[in-house]
Amino acid sequence: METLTIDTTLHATTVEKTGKKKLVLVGNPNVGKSLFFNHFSGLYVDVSNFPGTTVEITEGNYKNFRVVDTPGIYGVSSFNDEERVARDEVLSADIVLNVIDATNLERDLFLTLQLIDMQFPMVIALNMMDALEEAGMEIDVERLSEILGVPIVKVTAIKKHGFDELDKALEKATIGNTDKTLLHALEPILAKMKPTANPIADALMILEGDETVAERHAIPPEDKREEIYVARRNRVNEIVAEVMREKSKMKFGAVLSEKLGKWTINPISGIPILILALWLIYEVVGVMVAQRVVGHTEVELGNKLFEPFVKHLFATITPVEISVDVLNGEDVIETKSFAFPEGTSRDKAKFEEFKAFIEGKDVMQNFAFSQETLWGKIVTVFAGEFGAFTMTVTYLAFLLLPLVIGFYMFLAILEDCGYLPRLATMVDRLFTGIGLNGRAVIPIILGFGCVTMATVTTRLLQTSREKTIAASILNFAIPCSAQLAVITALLTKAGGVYTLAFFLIILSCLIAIGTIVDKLLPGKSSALLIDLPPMRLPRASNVLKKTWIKTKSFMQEATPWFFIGALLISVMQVTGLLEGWVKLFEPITTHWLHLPAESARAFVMGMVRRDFGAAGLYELNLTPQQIVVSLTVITLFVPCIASLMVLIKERGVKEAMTIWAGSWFFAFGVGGAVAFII
Amino acid sequence: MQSLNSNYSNLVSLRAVKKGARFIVRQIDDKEIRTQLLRFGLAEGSEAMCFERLPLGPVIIKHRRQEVALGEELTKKIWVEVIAEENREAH
Repeated sequence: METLTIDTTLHATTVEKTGKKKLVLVGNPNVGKSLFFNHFSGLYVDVSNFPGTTVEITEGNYKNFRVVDTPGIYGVSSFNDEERVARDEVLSADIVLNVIDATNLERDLFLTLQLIDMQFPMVIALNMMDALEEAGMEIDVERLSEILGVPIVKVTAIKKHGFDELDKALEKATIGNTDKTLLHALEPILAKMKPTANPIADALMILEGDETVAERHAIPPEDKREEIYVARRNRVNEIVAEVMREKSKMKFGAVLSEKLGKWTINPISGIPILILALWLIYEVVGVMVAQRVVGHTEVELGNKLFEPFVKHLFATITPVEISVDVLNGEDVIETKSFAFPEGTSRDKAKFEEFKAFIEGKDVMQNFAFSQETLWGKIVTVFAGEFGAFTMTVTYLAFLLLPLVIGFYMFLAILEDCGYLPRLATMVDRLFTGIGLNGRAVIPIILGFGCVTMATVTTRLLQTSREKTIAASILNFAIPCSAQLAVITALLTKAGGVYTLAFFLIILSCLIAIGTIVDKLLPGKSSALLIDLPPMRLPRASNVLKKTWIKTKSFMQEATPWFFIGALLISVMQVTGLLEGWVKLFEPITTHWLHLPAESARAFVMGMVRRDFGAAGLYELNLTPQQIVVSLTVITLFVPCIASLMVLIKERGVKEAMTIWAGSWFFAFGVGGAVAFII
Repeated sequence: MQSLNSNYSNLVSLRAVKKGARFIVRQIDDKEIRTQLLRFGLAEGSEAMCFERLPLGPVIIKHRRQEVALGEELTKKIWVEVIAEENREAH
């Protein structure tokens, strides 16, 4: 842990270097911390992944402060990735702003007392004063401030009440009334510690048994955690009993929020609510964004405008044959080919003829670069059918981006209104059978949008074991939105009974995958333990900010992998490897799956982009039985190249390749069995 | 599994508590769960109510204003003393 020691010593000099103090925002989950961060830093923030973990940290600047937002935590410790990240940010703080939910004083003060015991100069923002009023409660803020020994500012962040006072209070940040008995116990540890930014805080972590911090100072951790926690909990209870009292009955808003919360959990009302939510997501993201917006952006901007532009640049000096489809709506009404054996710049007359031909028409241009020379092959890699500068850019900017924005916006809305933890609770039982708990519902639902995005989201699961199980289910058995449209269309052709058969097959595969991985992996998955925040209206500013931050960080992370994937596939294409692969699978496809030989191409193309695979099937004339078999294979088949890349990054090469290779066997195995039975 | 504390005669696991019942948490069998619940505000000795329970699934307990959902596995490790079967309009 050498590097970590260096980290803490480096910190001591950051203030001198930048002249800025590090203000760290700390609070329990769902206390509205992000609204404070927005207030301080506006939209211009840096999002970064904390080294070694996948938790995001946002940073901004405000006056003379470098403001750092941390993930919501219930205490400073190391129970999971979020906590480890927050712990290190807190330990290197110059000033702490502790945000507290006034309606949840009893829970939130636990963290507050811990921060006070760590002797940080701090200010408390007592947020959600309006909700406190709704709940019919009252807090004696002056008395609370006196007991804790730190300035407290009453804030209703959503209405921007109290921020001016908060700004002033930051100047008066003070070290609070620390637990005296603890200070005494810290002395022997302090004597043995290495120099660090906040010695008392580090020493307390060691006394509370934090192994990482202890290791940094090369001191064995103590085992006083439970003792200290119990004492701290008792002090919190005493304080709450003294400063908080019931003033009136709960008001309508609070009662409604509680009722609504209950309805979302109870299956009788909760399932209809879930169906309603899913239907809304489908209508907005699936129909509006995926079909209308993407249909327009991908074809009109990507295929017809951007890609021909790039391809023409290469075509000037590369032998190419351009075949032009003249369109009238969806139909091709005329096709004409133009050959440029030495590139478009060498044959001006023909190029003029070509330009005159497409003038004023709605056309789709198909470029076939000659692959006789090495240059031709290189051009194909970068600007061909799967080119890194053509297909990948279209895919990322015109297809994926609108979808990702749509999905993250819904996720942010559902998160902000307090629905997600309740959904996780309602469906928990369904997931415990396959080695997961209710939290896994989020990545699984996202998977129907984009498996790549969902694979990234498996981070919110608590143990590596659960992440593996969820990643396996996603990459084996969940069809993403790219395929869903074609799957639905083909199933409509096949009819009701076959549709039902297909659903049953996929569902049993999903359960089988979960169960098998659960059995194979050692250990036990964690049970659900989740705090249910009050239901409330989502806040637009919060939703937009979250959507923006999540989209940005996903696109940043995924983009290089999409390019690398496209390069790999293009290289396979120009070297004939892709064709070889198709040939290899033809006999299996015809003899084992009883499908036409052409479907082998559809399957192999599914490696690149899953919709390529599905679309390939649409063009074949299949019987209902063949439809079920081919859709089964294509759903269970390997994830797209981008998912695979992200999977490698998230879960490691070994695990990713096991899933990927396993998908070939699983897809063809199950497909063959289905072909045999029906 | 730890043996039950003999000071309390009528302890039941949270699994068996009926919806609406008020109870006092007496014993939590797992150290990590104990520390995590301490931070949520629940300790051995805290009073709470069973806010909702799902068939075969998690139990949601309410403690002051806070609702916490506990998966089935956890509810088997939490031992409580029921003090009132029905929650008579506590607030």
